[in-house]
Amino acid sequence: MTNLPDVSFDPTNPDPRCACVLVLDTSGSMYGEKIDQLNQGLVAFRDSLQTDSVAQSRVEIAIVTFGPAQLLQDFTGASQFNPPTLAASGDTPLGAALQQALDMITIRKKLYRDNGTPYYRPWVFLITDGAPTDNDAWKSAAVRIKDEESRKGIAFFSVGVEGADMEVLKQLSTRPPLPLKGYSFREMFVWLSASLGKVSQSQPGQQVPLTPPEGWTTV
Amino acid sequence: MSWRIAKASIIGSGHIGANMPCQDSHYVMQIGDTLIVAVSDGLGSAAHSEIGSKIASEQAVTHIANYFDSLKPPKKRLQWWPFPAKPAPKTQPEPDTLETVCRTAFTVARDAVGVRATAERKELRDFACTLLVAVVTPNDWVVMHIGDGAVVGILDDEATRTLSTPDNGEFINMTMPLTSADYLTHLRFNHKAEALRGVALMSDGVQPMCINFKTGEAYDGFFRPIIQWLRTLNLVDTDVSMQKLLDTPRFRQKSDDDMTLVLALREPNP
Repeated sequence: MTNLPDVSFDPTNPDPRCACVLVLDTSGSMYGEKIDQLNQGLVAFRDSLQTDSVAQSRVEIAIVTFGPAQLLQDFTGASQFNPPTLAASGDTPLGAALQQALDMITIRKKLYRDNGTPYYRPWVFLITDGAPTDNDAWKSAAVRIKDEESRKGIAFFSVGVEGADMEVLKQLSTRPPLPLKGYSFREMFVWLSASLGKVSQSQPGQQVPLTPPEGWTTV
Repeated sequence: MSWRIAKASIIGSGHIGANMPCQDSHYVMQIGDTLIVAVSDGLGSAAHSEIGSKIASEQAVTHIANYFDSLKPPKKRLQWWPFPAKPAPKTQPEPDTLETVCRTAFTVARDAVGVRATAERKELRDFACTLLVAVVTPNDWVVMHIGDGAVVGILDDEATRTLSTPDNGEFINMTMPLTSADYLTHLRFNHKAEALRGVALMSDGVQPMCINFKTGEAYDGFFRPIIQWLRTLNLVDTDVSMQKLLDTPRFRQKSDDDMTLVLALREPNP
């Protein structure tokens, strides 16, 4: 038996991070069962993330809601993530909310770089049940999203709840929008949590094959 | 002046779980006083990258070794022809030739991977891998690098200095491989007339422990104890010991990726 050396590791090296911004529609049309189910979905999201110890230390969640567009929660480590209870009211300024989410990611990435924190491609996850009410603001957001996607700067996903303008969602990104089956927010968030968990455990250089969304959408 | 070397590539716990092979490879040769080391990390996204990394590291080292072999003085023969003997060929590498040979090693390695890909009727990208090569002669070192991983030089006073830092894409899960079309533009080449006491090459699995993400500096608290330790090891045990070291829970906890560390030290003159 050989003795092993007493090495120490560079203590300043942080774990890699995976940022995810949830862009959630809280306009008046979400009132009632939709928003209740969405809230329950968020709780399921938290619970699901907490079963994954790697995701807990690597995934960071932020929430932007719209109606009006506002930052509800800045980036929070998955271990401390506690979703606020959403209430539905107001119109659907989808474009402004997306712009805000993209700004946040730009700032976050700069922070990662300044701190020498390695990071995965951040996710933007949009959920809406309507059509944008802020004129053509969504079009400039779409240009930004497509630009970022082509540079692999973000991964953009959109989910259309019953009543959503799927044509607008289609134009937001090259990745097709997913229609939500009924109000199965819970299943959707469990999938999201599992997918983020997979990404955060991936190796550098690895393209992560995601589990196809099942049970909550009709592709 | 010979070398004391400890080297190991071990499979990452994440790869065991995902039923993937160890995709890291390394290859080392000594020609006279010169040490040639390659480390290659097969990309997780490529189906046969463990083959790519093996071929790339072996071919790159062998190509450079052939050059140093050709510099050895020929064996003395009995002179029977009454002409004056030819002047002895050079036994030290010309700086320009050395650089050309080293650069060519990357093309040779890539071509060899390409031949295998063609033979198996697969795409070159299915064999995608990074490649780090270090050549240490008594007076010079050459370090070449595509992708992540790092090379650390051990200076005469046992202080360490990073000779080549990782080149990640923007994100941790993006790396530029040897198999990419514009690989030569991503090849980072360093040649310095400086005598090294040793050299360490590692794949990205070992990087978080000892290379500062922000500055790229080598962490002394990591290298010093390992250097001291390697000096005390029985020469037949070095590789097994290195494997045991990487396989300890502390290393496993920090990285679930494949891990490769090659550490080479010049033996003191007798």
